[in-house]
Order: sequence, then C-alpha cells, then structure tokens
Amino acid sequence: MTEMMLKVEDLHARYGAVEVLRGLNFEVPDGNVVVILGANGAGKTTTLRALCNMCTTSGTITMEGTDITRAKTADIVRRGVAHVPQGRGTFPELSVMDNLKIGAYTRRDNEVSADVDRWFEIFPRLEDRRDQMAGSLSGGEQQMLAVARALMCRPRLLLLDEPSLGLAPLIIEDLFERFAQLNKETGLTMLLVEQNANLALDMADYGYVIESGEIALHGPAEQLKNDPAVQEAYLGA
Amino acid sequence: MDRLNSSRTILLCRKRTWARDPKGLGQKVNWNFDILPDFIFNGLRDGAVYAALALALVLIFKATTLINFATGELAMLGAFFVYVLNVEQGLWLWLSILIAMAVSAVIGAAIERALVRPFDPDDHLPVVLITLGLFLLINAVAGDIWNYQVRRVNDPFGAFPGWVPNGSELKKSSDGMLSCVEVDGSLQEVAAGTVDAETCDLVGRTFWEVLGARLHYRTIGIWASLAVALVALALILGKTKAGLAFRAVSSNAESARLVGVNTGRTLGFGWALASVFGTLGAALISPALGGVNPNMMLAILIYALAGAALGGLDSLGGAIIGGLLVGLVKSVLVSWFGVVVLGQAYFSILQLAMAFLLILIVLLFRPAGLFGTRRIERV
Amino acid sequence: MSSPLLIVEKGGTQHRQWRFLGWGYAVALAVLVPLVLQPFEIGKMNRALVLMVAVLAVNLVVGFNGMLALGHSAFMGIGAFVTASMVQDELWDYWMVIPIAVIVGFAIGIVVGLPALRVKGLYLALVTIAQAAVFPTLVNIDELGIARRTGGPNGRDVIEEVDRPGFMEWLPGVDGARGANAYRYWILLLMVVVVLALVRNIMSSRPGRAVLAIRDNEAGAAVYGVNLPMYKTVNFALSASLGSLAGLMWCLDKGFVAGQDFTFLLAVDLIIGLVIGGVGTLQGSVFGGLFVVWVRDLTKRISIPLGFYNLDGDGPLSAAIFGLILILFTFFAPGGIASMITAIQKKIIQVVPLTPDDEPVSPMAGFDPGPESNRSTWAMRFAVAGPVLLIIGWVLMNLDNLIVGTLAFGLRFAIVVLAPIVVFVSMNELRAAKAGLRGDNADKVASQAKLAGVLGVLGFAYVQTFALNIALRAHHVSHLAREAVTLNRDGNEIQAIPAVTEALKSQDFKGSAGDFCATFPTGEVANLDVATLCDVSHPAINASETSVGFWLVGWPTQSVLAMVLSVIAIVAIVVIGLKFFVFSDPTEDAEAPSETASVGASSD
Repeated sequence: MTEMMLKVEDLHARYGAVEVLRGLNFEVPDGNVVVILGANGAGKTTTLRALCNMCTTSGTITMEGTDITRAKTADIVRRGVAHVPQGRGTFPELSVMDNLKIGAYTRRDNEVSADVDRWFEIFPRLEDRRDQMAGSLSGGEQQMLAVARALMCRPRLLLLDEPSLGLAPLIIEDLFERFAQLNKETGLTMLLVEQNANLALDMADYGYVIESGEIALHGPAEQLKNDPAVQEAYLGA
Repeated sequence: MDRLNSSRTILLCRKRTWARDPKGLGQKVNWNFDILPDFIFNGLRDGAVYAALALALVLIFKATTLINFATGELAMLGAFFVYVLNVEQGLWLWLSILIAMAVSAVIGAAIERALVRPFDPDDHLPVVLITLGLFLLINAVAGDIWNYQVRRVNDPFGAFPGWVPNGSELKKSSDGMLSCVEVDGSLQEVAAGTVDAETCDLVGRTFWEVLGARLHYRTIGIWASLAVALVALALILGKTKAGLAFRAVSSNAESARLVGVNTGRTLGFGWALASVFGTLGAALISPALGGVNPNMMLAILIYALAGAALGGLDSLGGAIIGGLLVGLVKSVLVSWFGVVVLGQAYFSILQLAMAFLLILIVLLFRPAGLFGTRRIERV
Repeated sequence: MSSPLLIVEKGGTQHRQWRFLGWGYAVALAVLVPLVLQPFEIGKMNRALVLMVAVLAVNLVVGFNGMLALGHSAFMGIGAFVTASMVQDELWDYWMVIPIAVIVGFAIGIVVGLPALRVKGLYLALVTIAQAAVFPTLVNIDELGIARRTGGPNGRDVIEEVDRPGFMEWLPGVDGARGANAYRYWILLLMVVVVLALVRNIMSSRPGRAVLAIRDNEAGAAVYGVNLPMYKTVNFALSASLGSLAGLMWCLDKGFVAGQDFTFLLAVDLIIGLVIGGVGTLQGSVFGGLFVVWVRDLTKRISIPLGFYNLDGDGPLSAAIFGLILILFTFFAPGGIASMITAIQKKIIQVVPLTPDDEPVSPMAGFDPGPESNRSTWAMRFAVAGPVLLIIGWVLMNLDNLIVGTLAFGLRFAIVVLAPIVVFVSMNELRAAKAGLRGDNADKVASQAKLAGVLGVLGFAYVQTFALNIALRAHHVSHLAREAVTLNRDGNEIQAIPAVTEALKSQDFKGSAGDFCATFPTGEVANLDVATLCDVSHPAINASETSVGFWLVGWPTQSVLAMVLSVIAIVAIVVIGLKFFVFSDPTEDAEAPSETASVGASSD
C-alpha cells in the first residue's frame, strides 16, 4: 500500500451563504495521478482552492500525516503543493522568465536557474519567448508557462485545474502526454480536475466523480472508464 | 565672460520690470525666449517632486488598486519628521531624511495593514473614504501638534560655500564681510546679513548659469536625489525577490498567493515604498516652499494626481513622465506662455485649473492615461 | 427579541397608524425647530437643510448610480455665485433665480460630465477631486468680469430677502424675535421637501430604475438596452443642478459667498455626510446634512475648552474627529445612520407584503409567536425604560457639561419613541390573550399587557403635558410682553418687564435682545431703550420657553388654543387608554385605543 500524499475528510466549503462542498472524502496516494471529474458548478475548482486554503472551509485535510487545514497558503506551497489555477493564472505583466522565477518564490536554494533551464528544455517554446510578457503568449503557451511555473517550486503534489480549458485538441493531447511523462519520470503526484474525462482517465490511476458538492462515484480509472453512468455523463458514449 | 555677464544683467533687469508691472507686457504678444529656460528648469524641478508623489500614488494603486488621497498628508508628516529631527534635534540633515523615510515606511505599511486590508479592493467607495478620513485626520493632528504656521527648514542643497559660478571664488573675511559676484559681474564686498548679502546669495551662490538661466543647486539636487531614489526603486523591483513578489501581486494577486507569496506583507511593502517616495519628495521641496506646514502638500497632491492620471495610474514610468509633464505645463504653458508671452497676469491663477484641464483632455482620449493599461472588466 | 414585536400587514390599519405616527413625529419636529431653538440654532438647522440637498446631489451620483464623484462643492459654488450675481447685480428675486441656477448647474454638469464619465471608477474620483480643488481658484480671475461678479478673494454679501407669500407670516416662529432665521427655515424646508419628493419619484420611475441598474451591474444594464452614456450624463447633470440649487440655498442661508467656502474640504464634508447618513437612501441625505452641521458644531464647542482652535474658531480637532468618525463608520457601520435605524426598526416592526390580490403573502396568524410569546414582557420593559431614561436624563441635565447635556436631551425624549411601541404591542397582546392565542399564559400576558399599556398611555400623556407646559409658559410671557406694549401705548413710564428681561439676558440669548425689540410685533417697543428693558433680573423663565412666547405675542389666541388642545388630548389619551387597558370588557374588541396613538402623535 502506497503512502497517502493527501487525505481529505469531510471537507465543506462555502462562498457566503452558499455551501459548495458538502462533506468530501478522498485520498491521493503518493506517486499517483488522481482525477476529479464533474459537471460545471459541481465544486471541482472549489475543492482545489480549499486544499490551498483559498476559501472558507471546515473538515480535515492531511498531507503526509500533517494537518494543513488551517495552514497559510504560503506554508502549504512550502510543503510542496503547486496549484495551476483555472484560466492559467499567469502574471500577464511579467516576462516569462519572471513568471518562472516567481514560481520558485518559496525556495531558498541556488538551483533556481538550473531548474529554469530544465523546464525550458521540456517546454522549448517558452525559452524562445523568455523575455516576452506572459500576457502576449498564446493560450497553449500560457498553459505551459503556468505548469512550468508550478513545477518551479519543486512540488511533490501538483494540483491542475482544468488544464485543457480553451485549448485546441492537439495541444491538449500534447500537454497530457507531458503530464504523464512527468509523472512517470519524477514520480510527481498529481491531482487533476477535468471535464475532458477521456484523456484524464487515460492518464489517471484513480478517479472521483463529484456531483453538487458530494462524491457520487469513485474507483480505479479503468473501472470508471467502463462505468455506464460515467460513460453516459462524461464520455459522451 | 563679458557676454555672459551682460546677458545676465539684461535677464535680471527684464525680470524686475516684469515683476514690478505685471500688466506692462500685456499690450502685445512678447515671445521672450530668453527667460524660457528659467521656466523650464523650474517646471522640471516642481515636476520632479510631483513625479515622486505620483510615484507614491501609483505604487499604492498597483498594490491595492486604490487612490490614496492621504498620500500628500503622509508626505507632509514625513517632512515634519525631518523638521523635528534636523531643526529641533539637530541631527545631520541627510540622516534626518533617511530616518524620516524609514519611519514613514513603517507608518505606510501599518496603515495598509490596519485600515486598507480589511476591505474588498474591488469596492472603491470604502477605501476612498478611509483615505479621505486619513487625510483629514493627519492634517488635523499635524495642525494640533505643530499649528499652521510655516516653519523654516534647512535646505539640503541651499548653498555650497566656497564655490561660485564662472570660476570665481567666494571669500568670507574675518569681519563677516562676503565677497560676491554682483549683478553687473564685478566682485564686491558686502556685509553679511544685509539685504545686499541676500541678493548676493541669490546671485552668487545658489545657482549655476545654464543657457542664460538660473539652474539652482536645489533643482539639480532634487533631480539627483530623485534619480538615485528611482534607480534604487528600479533595482528593488527588478532585482530583488520582494520586488518580484510585488510585481507579481500587482499583476495577479490570486496566482501570487498560489505560488506562496505572502500577499498581505507584499502590499504593505508597496505602501512602505510609496511612503518613502512621498516623504523624500516633501522633504526636498519644503525648503522651496519656505518651510513646512500642515497644508503644504494640498496643491502638490492635486498636481501629483494630475501627473499620475496623465501617465496612467498603473504605470510607474508613466508617473514619472506625467509628473514632469505637469510641472512643465504649469511652468511653461501657464507661467511663461500665459503670463509672460500673452501678458495675462491672471494666468497665474489658472495653474491648478490647467492641471485639471490637462487631466480631462488626456482622459478624454486615453481613459487609462498615456501609459496605463486598460483592464478588461469581467462581468 | 427573536421575532419583531409588531408584525403588521402592509397597508393594514396598524401599518397605516404606524406610518401616520412616524409622519406625525416628523411634522412635530419640523414645527418645533423654529419654536423651541435659539435663533443661532435655527441658523444651524438652515445650514443643515442646505447640506441635505447638497448631500442628496452627491448621493444621486455616488449612491444611486455608483459613480465615484467627489467634487460637488464646485457645483454648489457655481449655484451660489450665479445666485449672488443675479440677486445682487440683476436684482432678481430668489424664486426667479431657482430655474436659472438649476439650468446653469445642469449645463455645467453636462460639460464636466461628458468627459468625466468616459473614465471609470477611481479615475472619476480623481478628476472630480481635482475639480473641487480648482474651483475656488477660478473665482479670483479678474478677467471677463468674473471677479467683479464673484467678489474675488473677498467674497460678497448677498441680500437675504425673499418675496414671501402672505401665508408665510402665519407659520410658526416667523413673527417673533427669530423671524429672520425662521422664515428662511420654512423656505429652505419647503425646498428640501420638494427636492426629496422629486428625487424619490425620479428614482422609482423608469429612468430612475435604469440609473440604479447601471450601479448594480453596468454591463448587465447595457445588455438590456440601457443607454449608459445618456443616463449617466443626465443623472450627473441632474446631480450638478441639485448641487447648484444647494448653492442658491447657501446664499439665502448665509447671505455671503466667497470662493473659500467652496473648497475641497466642503466636498469632503458632503462625502462624510453621505456615508454617515447612508449611501443610496433618501433618509441618508437628511441624516447626513444634520450630522455634518451638528457634529461639527459639537466638536467645535468641545475644541475650544480643550485649547484646540484657530482664529476662525474651527478647531483642527473637529477635522480630526470628523476623520476618525469617517473611518470608524466605514469600518463598523458602512450603511450609515439610515441602515442603523432600519436595523433597529426591523427588530421592532415587520411589514408583511401583500400579494397582487391584496392578500398578505402568508396568513397573519402564522406570524403569531404562540403561547410562549415574550412580547408583553418586552412591552413591559420598554414601558419601564421610558420613565427611567427620562429620570436619568433629567438628573444628567443638571450637570453643566456639553456632552452629558446632549445625552440628557436624547434620554429625555426616549419616552417619545418608546411610548407608541408600548401601546401598540400591549394592545395586540391583550387582544391575543383574549382570543386565546396565549394558551395557559393568557392571564400573565394580559396582566403584563395591561400594566405596560397603562404606562405607555401615561408616557403619551407626559409627552402631551410637555407640550402643554410650553404653551403655558409661552402664554405667560406673551401676557407680560403685551403688558409692556400697553404701558407704552398709554404714554406711561416704561417699566422693565422682569420675565422678558431675564429671558433676554439668560443663556445665549443676549445677542437677540436687539432683534427682539426691533421686531416686536406692534412696532411700538422698537423705541424702547434696550438697556432699560433688560435691566431687572428675574429667575423664573429660561430662554427656550420664552422664545415660544415671542412668537405668541402677536398671536395671543394661539397659546390659548395650544393649551386647550393639549388638555383635550391629555384627557382623551388617558380616558380612552384607561378604558381599553383597565376597564375593558373581555369580549369587547375596541378600535378606539389605536386612535389614541394617532391623537397623541398629531397634537404633539
């Protein structure tokens, strides 16, 4: 049995008077790729935000045995959680280089530039545009930049919020290949939120389906893929 | 040598005529280019101070998307700190300025933490009210402590004894007599403390002659100090981690949080930087205003607002250019063109109005200022 | 108080009575101002009326349209200078200047508004602040006759006479020593009422709703076909014209205009009034105007003993306190006084809306708290609290301290507010107990309600007695004053009238002695030597009561009328109240006591 990177118990979250999450329970084992599926407004994005303490929550979030429910966002990042928010979340007025540097904000070692070079190798298109403002990049490039920036903090858990949103199918496939590659090569744990269930389930080890703030279904990715309910709702079968 | 001296004489004579009889030149248009450089230098001097204040406004706008109407009053408070440390406590002037800048930085950060952070930055009204409240409060408290009289301060660039323009040397004899360059160019001795000595000070010691105009040491000093401060700011923002974090927060606060930036502390840092610039500007301009008093920054704040609006509220470079431009417009367009060239004395009243008109016209064509970026509002 | 004490059906009898009561109090307060206050205090009230319109003008843009315009002092200044020029140079009357001031304000509002409204949010705040800062410098330009018309840096006097219709003379307070301030009070009040009604109607009309929609969701409003630039500009210009009207009122009130009156600081005062009164509400503008004037007055008065003051008497402490209050309100009560009052009112009364068929949205019985109701207990508490606060206020009143004095003033009038609540709630509870809604607790509730009801009725009676007291003393003074006139007419030696003399000398009233003598109704006392008249002292009467007397000198029958009405009201309240609460038959459902409440309010 693999060690649990992340364990979430009875997670509630609310925006004002609206309760968005109503008692989620899920686990992310170390080294795995876990995907959360769900329709619009099911609470996927809120789940990821709650993990980083970006909204009002109750419940317990444990990372490698430590309770991080009430930890500050900066401390959570320092523990190795990198979050690629929905809609990329790059810094449009900063250059690509600065975007990567700010990703390493929590690090105090001297290998930042080495890491920058490493990610430039993996995303060569970013290197071409290293001094360009991030706001002038194309959607796909921005997504790459957002991922590269998240990786700059040397995370052990990568939270990806709908990386496929608004991208052309070819680019999405390319992106997901890179994710799979990352997971294989570095053993990076990933928690992926997606609507593109096909691709996500192909890559994932385990999946959860959220409906109106509650877990409706969960199981190994293969099993979910063959589940008739999932097929009907998310795979368009 | 001769030519220079004679031109200076002409210049001074003209200026005096004009000063005595403001309507004297009013009969016809008089393109008096001889004294234009004077006005340009003055405009750029004031403009530099407006730029410092505009920079303070823009730094705060970038940090917390609000216009801090208390910027001027915070700067005034800084100038009073300099006054207390330097004049009352007798500390070295530059040390006083540095300490005042540090104290202002702490006050700025504290205000951000206590009064601004609790509010939603997208709802403008509450934060504007908070800064207006601060404006009244700081002005009144300063009035309670120091009352509203103008208090004289020392000029960091007032005079450089032993050094006069055109190579002459200033001598001070043992009996308190000063030797100085007179208006006609001759070297004369005058008694210290007399009216003659004051004229002598003006003529001989506080300015440099460039293009036939007076370039005061103070003007150069203000430019130089602000240039140093700007370079420091550029280095802080461009090369340090805190600066990078500040730029990241002002670009996208949520993503900045997600990469582990302590946004609150960074915003406080922005306010601190802003207060430093405000204090520096106020400390440098206060000698030119005759001293410090609680109302000294009221008009300057309006010009600085004009500068910031002109450059674009979210552009640091724009603030500097906008500030200098406002100074130039005020001096060249209003004081030189209006008063000297057109001979309309009432133009001097129109200085503030001109700044206002400038904002209106620029915003009419570029609603986000000359260098500002217009963000698309999400519905 | 988990549920409101009173739950009434919208438009029902009790709702109408409640509203009638509210209006009754408002009218009573408005009438009392020129009667009870000192002339200089009426002057302050006049300033508050002027600022109400100005704050409303700001409210129109900031509160109703969500645009951050902070420079309305400039529009006020424009209105004031236009008025000064028309009245002094062209010899027009104020009434005739009103359309001019409004039109000029509107036009300038469009000129400034068109470019200013292209910019958004904080840029607009910046432009308008600059506008406020620039305006006072412009009036000094001595070209184009501007300085001649504005008076330049020295400002200029404006005549304060208004063509007044005949009935004005009849209004309370107009004919006495305070005539000059009082008749301006009535004119300004009329303007405020008209403007409030106008804005209220505009805001509930179709264009008004468009303006509100722009505030709530600009893009959304545009999508629904609202012409953004048009509505924004017209609204801004309307607001500017209201500001201009406030400038005209300023002239009428102050009789003097100068650029220095219309600085950035006045603009900040208006914003403070808006925020503390309540952004986006009509009542907010009223509270805001009152707040700015009276709290500034209060802070000035406490600044001077503390040693903080300038030559003009406006201590920097008052600005500091204003700044502090502004920050505190923004933090803790962002809705201002209006929302505080609404919140309190919601705890006491809840109005159940009606369906289109004029039925309550849910049956009224559903709102009854049932046998466990503690309403009668609360009625009892309020009934006791009224007299207790009254006594505390009465004790505090004897301490000679400004802040405590203000507090005491407020406490003494708590009973005025509490008594009607007590009567209403007791009445309802008594009925509920009789109808069996209180189950086993019926006896307890009924006895509590009866006791509270009696106390409430007595509270009403006290309020009415207060009015009787004023009328009595007024009659006394008017009697003495008439005696003086008679003596003079008969050619006898004039004797100082002790009571009037003392009144003139007491407290802050000295300055008005000349006023009093000059405006004495018959005109004959005008020849009296003021010094002789004011020589003898008498300890009986204080100034605020005599002032009512001054008014009544010309109208001796009015004090008698007021006394008779007061006595009738007191008897009616006590008799009908006791009949309902003490001697009522359990089976009888009396409608009369509710009338009691109305009588008490209207004749107050």
